[in-house]
Amino acid sequence: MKRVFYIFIVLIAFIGLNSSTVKTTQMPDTRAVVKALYIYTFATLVEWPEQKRSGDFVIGVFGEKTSVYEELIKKYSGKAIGSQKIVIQNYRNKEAIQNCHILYITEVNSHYVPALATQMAPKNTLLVSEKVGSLTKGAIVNFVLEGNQQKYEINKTNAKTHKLVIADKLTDLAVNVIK
Amino acid sequence: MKTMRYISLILIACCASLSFGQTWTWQANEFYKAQNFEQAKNAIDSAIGTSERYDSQTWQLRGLIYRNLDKPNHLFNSEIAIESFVRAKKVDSTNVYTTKINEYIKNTLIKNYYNISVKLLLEEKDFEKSEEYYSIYKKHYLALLDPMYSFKTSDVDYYNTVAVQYITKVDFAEPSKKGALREKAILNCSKVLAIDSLDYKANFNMGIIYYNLGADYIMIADPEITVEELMMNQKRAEDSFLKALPLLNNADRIQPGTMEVYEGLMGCYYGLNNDELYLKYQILVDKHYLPTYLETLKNQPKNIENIKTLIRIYTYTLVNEEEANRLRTVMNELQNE
Repeated sequence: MKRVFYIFIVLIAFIGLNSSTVKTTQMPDTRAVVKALYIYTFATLVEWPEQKRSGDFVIGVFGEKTSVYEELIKKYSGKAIGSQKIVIQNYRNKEAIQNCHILYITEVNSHYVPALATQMAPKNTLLVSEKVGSLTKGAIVNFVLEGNQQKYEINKTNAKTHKLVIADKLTDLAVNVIK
Repeated sequence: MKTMRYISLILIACCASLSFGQTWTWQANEFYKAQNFEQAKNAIDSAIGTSERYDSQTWQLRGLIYRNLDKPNHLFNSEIAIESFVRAKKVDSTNVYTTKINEYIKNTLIKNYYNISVKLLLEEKDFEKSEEYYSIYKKHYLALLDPMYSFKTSDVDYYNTVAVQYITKVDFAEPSKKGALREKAILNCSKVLAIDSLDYKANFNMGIIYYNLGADYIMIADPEITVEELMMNQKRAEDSFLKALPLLNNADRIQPGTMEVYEGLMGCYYGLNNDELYLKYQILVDKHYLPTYLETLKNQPKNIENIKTLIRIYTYTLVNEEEANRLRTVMNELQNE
């Protein structure tokens, strides 16, 4: 007679996988970052007159403290363009603007472009706007969309008025250049 | 008379041996019950060198012992366990134990392959080894238990989990390793979609992977980027957002009204500078979360980020100029404090 071993079959359960979905994090403001990065590249590809090549390099944002302002602070505050330390400023009214190398004018404040162009020309400020038609109102660089991408257009005549020299590379990559 | 006495002694000895079961298999079983698997292994390996190897139970016991052994190598021992069960079936010429042996095999496959594969995946994060175990589990299951068994549901669950694990790893990886991890995640989502193109998780996860990839081209760009590189990064981001869109739209069709999908679509259209469609999804998302923001405002009236969000909502999506202006005043006061 065969001996039987009392080996019980223990039911073994599958360990659950609990496959979930990838967590969506808070949506990053990609548009603000692109604009901040562009503003930095403008700073590297524009030549300012001699008197503006010393001291701090001031990038101003005119309007509310938008995401672009926050990105500029985050990425560039304390860094340098050549030997000039970058300082990011926010201006709520045009009288407060003293002296800056680049002034970015938010879309809701674009109606100030003509007045700011007159005010900032003697201070050799590169006016950067983001509203269609701003180049004819005094802006030097204007953000525009081309397809799905953020691009820019340039008014070289306005640049000359502000005594700024724009590098060919920046002009060549612009979607529209007014000479 | 003397001879009779010897014969009696031998008979007594044999009976004692039988009644106490002092065979190698019996000893192995005793060690096994005492959970002394190393000793049990030595005994059972001795048993198969004797005529006990013709007993199916010896091989069954060998399988049970080996599946509990870790040294020298867990996978190696598991393979011996499976081989032993197969041998137990062969020796069982009357098929008395077939059902029982199949249960042993099934349990061993779950315990020693599938469950180990899941532990490697979720706890030890050794994804490649996990896939090795999972693939052996399936191979054995088909070969030994049911050649027609469908792993569709199991595969979908497994590869979806692998994809999520790779993506979770991306968050903590060095920038140079992120790309390879994302590719692995995409590969695993693709495996699921090849099995079931209407799987919500795979469509959603792959869409979000592409969305995150696109956002990263912008968000982690070198601040001292050149204008050409910036344009190139924008192009790469655009390509990724465009890859994400059909997947997220599929997810939306499969499981309509899901907030995480709306958030993904919103992010893609925002990145693609498509204001019309971005606003469509931003409105849906804002409607969903507005009560939460208002609750936060009530409980944390000085939370500036929350106030900013509400100003954005009342200015652009769920327009309420009066409320937007009131909150602007509140924010200005807080910023001047």
